[in-house]
This record gives sequence, C-alpha cells and structure tokens, in this order.
Amino acid sequence: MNPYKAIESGYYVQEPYTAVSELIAGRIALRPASTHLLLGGIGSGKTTQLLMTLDQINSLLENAYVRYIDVSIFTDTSKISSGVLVAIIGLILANLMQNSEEETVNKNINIIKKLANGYKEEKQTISPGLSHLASLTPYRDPFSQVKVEYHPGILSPESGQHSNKLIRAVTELCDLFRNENEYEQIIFLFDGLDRLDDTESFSHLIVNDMRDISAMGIGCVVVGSTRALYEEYKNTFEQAVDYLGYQSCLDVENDRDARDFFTSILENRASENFIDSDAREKIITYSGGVLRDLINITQSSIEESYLSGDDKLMLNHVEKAVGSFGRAKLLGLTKSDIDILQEFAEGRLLLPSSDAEIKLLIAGRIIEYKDPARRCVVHPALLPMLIPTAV
Amino acid sequence: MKITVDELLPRIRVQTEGNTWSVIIVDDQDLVNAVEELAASIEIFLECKIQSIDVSSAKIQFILEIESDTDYLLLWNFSNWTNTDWQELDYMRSSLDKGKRGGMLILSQSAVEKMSSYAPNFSSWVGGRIFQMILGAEFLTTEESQSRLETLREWAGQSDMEIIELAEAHQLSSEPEYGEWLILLGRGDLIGH
Repeated sequence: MNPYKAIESGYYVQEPYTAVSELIAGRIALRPASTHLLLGGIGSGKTTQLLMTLDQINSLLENAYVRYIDVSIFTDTSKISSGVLVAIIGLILANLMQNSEEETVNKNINIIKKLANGYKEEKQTISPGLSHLASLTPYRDPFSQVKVEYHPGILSPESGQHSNKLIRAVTELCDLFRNENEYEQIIFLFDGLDRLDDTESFSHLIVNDMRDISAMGIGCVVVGSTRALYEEYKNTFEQAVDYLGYQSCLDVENDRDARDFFTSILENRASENFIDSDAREKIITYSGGVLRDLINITQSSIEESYLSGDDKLMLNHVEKAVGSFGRAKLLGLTKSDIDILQEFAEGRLLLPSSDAEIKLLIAGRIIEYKDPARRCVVHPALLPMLIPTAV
Repeated sequence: MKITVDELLPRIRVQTEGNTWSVIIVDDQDLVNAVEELAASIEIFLECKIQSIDVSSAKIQFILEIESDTDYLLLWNFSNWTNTDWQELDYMRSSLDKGKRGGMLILSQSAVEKMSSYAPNFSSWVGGRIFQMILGAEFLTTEESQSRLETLREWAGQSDMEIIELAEAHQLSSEPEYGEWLILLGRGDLIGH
C-alpha cells in the first residue's frame, strides 16, 4: 500500500521519538521560506514523513498553500539538472492561475511554459553582407532562409539550462498567486529525488534551486538518498539548506521503543489476534527496522498463511516468507559484495566507506541505525543466507 | 521459490492492497508461453483488466502505453534491457503506481539480477515475491488439489455439489474463491455462468 493510502486509511502510527516531519514542520512554521533536505534509505518511510509534514504544516499555519510533488511525474529524474524544481513550481502555479485574465499573469505563464517544456523558434538567416538592411521594413532578403530552431525545455533531459528569465517569471507569478489568494506562506514538498544516483547533479539542484526557491519566499523540502551523507558533497548539502533531517531505520534489536512502535504498526493493520505473538516478533526482527520490509514480510507471510488454509499467521508462515525475502536480497550480488557483507557480519567492518560498501547500504543489504548508537548490520533476512549459523 | 501457475494465482489474489509487484523467472524459450498462460489465468482469477506489455522496443517509454483502466500489469521481454534501462525504471517507478493492483514482471534469471542491482527501489517493492515458474506442471498434484478443496469447503461450509448447483443456477457469489473452487473441480466452464 502506498504511503498516501496508508495515512488516509488511518494506518499511520506515531513514531516513538519526535518524527522528522514534526521537526521540519515546526521549523517551517517559524521560518516559512526555509529550505530542508530529508535524507534516508530505501523503504525507511521518507514519503510518509513528507506527507505527514504536509499535514502538520497545514495544522500549524492557517493561510498556507502546501503542495506535495513527486518530481518523477514531471521529468526524467535520471537526467535532472538545475532549474527543474523552479520549473515545476512555475508549471504548478501556471496551472493554478490559468483562468486569470490579467495580462501579467498570462505573460508569465507563457514564459514559464516555454522555458519549462521547450519551444520552437523560426529564425530568418540574413545573407552575409546584407545584415545592415535587415532592420529596414519591408526589406526582404531574397536569399534568406527560415530555419526552425528547437529550444529544449528545462524539464527535458537535453537541457541543462539554469534560466534567470524563468526565475523572474516564476517569482512574479508566485507573488500574484500569493496576493490573489491571500496566502501568507507557500511551501513545496518534493519527493522522488532519492532515486537520483548521481550525487553531483543532486548537489547542483539542491544548491541552486533551493536558493532560488527560498529567495522567492517559498518554503521547500526535498527528499534525497542516504548516499548524499556519504559522498564528498556532504558539506555542500549541509551548507546549502537550513535543515538536514535524516529518516533512519530503527534498531529494533537494541531499542525497546522502536520495537514497540513496529508492534503497534502491525496491531494497527491486522485484526486482533490474527498474528501469533511469536510470528509477530519474528517479522519485526527480520524487518531489520526497515518499515517497507516490515510491511512486505508481513504481506508475504499472510500469503503463506492463506495458502496453508490457516486462519492465523503463525511462525512457520513467517519463516517461509523470510526465506524468500532473504533469497531475493542475494540476487545480483557479486563475490566481492558477499565478501564485504561477511566482513560486516563478522564485525571486521563497522561503517561503509568504499563505493561498493555504500552501494550495499543504499540497496538495503546493509542497514544503518543512528539510535541508540550508530551501527551498521547486514540485513537480518539476508544474514542466514551468508552465515547459516547466524539464524 | 519454484511455483506453478496454479500455486501462483491464490497468492496474487491475496494481494488486495494495491500496487503489489511480483517477479516471475522463466527461461527465454518459455517466455511467450508463460505470458499467455499467466495473462489468461490472472484475468479469469482476478476478474479484472489485465494489460500485457512487451517492453523490448519502447523500453521505459512503455509507461506511456499503460491504459488508464488497467487493473493489473504484465510486463515482459526485458532481455535487451541495459543497466541504464533498469535505472530509469527505478526512477520512474511512481508511474507504475496507478492506485489499483500492481503487476508482474516476467524475466529471465540474468534480467532479475540486473533488476536487483540497478533498480533497488523497485526491488524493495517486490521484496521476496520472486518466483521461478514451472511450466507444464500447471496443475496441482491430486493431494494438493484435495487439500485446497478441503480448505475451501471448510471456509464456505458448503459441499462441492452445492457450489456446482449454485453456479448452474447463476446464484454463486462472484468472490474469487468460488472461481478457484470451480476450476479445482474441473468446472471452470461455470465461471461467470
């Protein structure tokens, strides 16, 4: 189930500690045009936190326009460049203001659409030596040609443009939108950029776009991958935004509150007594404290129980589901990946530093916890595949 | 996990919460047969609109081919997908979440390894739902059929004969369990009767 539906269905359970969504919403309430970066691993619940941020800002600020955006719906995030977030805000404002009859509004809408989506321009080439006549109307150069030139939009992969003209148009349109609707704050929450593997592009986007967006008086939250914390750009990110939040996996082995939180999630979603207590504990352990894995293993265990014709989810169902889950995590691993994982499993490696180690962390084969102490472990569902005695 | 079509179908039916994805591994020479078999069986079993898309030529642009009323997607023929294609699928995965049921990728062993390496976000959606398809053994063993029928009888509190009579009288509930029941009894002809 996607996070939006889960929240809508009442499945959201308050985290044991102050959620990163609360921290961001609280800071935005104090400084609405501030910029925030929310980092976290795959399946750690970043989208849920972003959606909760939206809810909390709406409850803290009375006259705010808050919008959640999945960037991948607007553009190919694999080839993203600076200016994209500004362009997306521009297009959204253009859509909201499309029925306006005001000349300034329509002028800015046209500029934004052209620069964001691209446009064709007819250009007349003047014969060499006759350019001084070009300004004379109705002079026509008989040897001139009309060439059609295509200008790719900022949202297209071949662009790579950072346009001041676009920033001016979006700023003006934003002011008009704000005044017309009497919004005191405008905040955009950008999801989907955590899939961006290229930290350099992500870094440019964060530095340029968030600065420009903030200068328009717009608050902004962007979701990014854990990778950003491990590369040479970490300092750049920390300096480029007002707040850097981290959505960590929960150490369900060493943190009682975290374990109780996962128990509450399962209790909230399953009918009473459907999940046997031993089975529930096993699911939580093998989730590794990763929210999506908790849900995934539970759903697969339900499939196993259904196929067995049992009316309760029991330990043997979980064991089958965890076996499949662990085997899936083995797929695509090289010999050297397995060596690294074994080093982590045996405590010879403690934190990822090489590119290969970071990749294993990003892909959820290694899990990093921040509390109660920072530590990294091999995903518990994968561990028995590497060291059978570790079960 | 090795699985037959008959074992796979009840699993898919339990996946009611939407946007759930499975991966089926088949040998390249069995690909077309597997797709046809799965498309036909899932459509009957789930009673929903299936769209089957060969992704070999459009690559990630297959997303544009998804019809708005599709309930369940069957994506296949990934053999020429490069690492970059898989990365693009990973970036664009939100476009696959249409708020309905999810779907299935039918892949070779080498393609599923590429998926695991280059589409980690999408792979985390799939989780452990990766199955090796056994073709040509679509039917459960007699023992397995009897066990499943027993489960269905207990669940409904009805006999096989009662189910057939209800189906013939057009009074059988449209719940998918009854469809499965009729198939196990060799009376798939009565589905939708």
